[in-house]
Amino acid sequence: MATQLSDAQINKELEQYENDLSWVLENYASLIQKYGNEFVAVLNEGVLTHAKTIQQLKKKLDSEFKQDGHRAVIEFIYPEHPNFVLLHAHNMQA
Amino acid sequence: MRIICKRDRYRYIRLPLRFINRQFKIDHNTNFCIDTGAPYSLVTYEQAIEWNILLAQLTPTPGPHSVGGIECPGYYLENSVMLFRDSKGKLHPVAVNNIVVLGSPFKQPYKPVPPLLGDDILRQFTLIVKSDRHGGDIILTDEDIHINFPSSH
Repeated sequence: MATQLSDAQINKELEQYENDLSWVLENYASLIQKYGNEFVAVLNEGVLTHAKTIQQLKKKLDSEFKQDGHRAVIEFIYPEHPNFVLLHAHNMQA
Repeated sequence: MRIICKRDRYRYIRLPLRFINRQFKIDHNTNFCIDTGAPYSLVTYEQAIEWNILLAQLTPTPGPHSVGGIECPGYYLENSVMLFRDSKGKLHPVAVNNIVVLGSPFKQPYKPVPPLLGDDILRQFTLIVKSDRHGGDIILTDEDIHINFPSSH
């Protein structure tokens, strides 16, 4: 594996990630109001930063937040139901 | 093991996990959308950017991919690992020998699609989706679940 962290550290980070993801899902309505159609980075149950594109968000995270950005939940905030449907692939081989 | 999934606002099912790939030094927490209708799993273009995946270094898939209303090229990312964290806090590695990474969508602008956990990985587990009146929990497990059906005559 590429990871340099111990299982205990990974476990702790994943637990934090799960908590932050829950926070995003529970606070989605207010996130829509502030950041609809944007990408947000969430850490410790708060918005670290946001941007219109993933490229802009990554630039901000890399320059301003470094390791914190690495641990953040990155989500695109859909202002309305995205209505995703089935996956279709052309000429795919299993 | 039992892994508890989450539902989002639009009732898509999310599974938090850690994605690891040595080739691109990826070691990130992320979440995938469980899609029992998808024959294979997908890493999104946005994840590729976030994780610095150099698509030019990957083998292209034979054809494009249409998902969530967008069409994109695809590339194979080899030798990755997903780490699942179960309800007791134990980590479970799942080898992902090949996963499709989406390239930049052909038509711009577009709405991002979520990463998908499809049948290539889900087939190793049993997915339990409880009814709302029974709590609505969504559990991914490697346990052998026995349900006795009445025999048909």
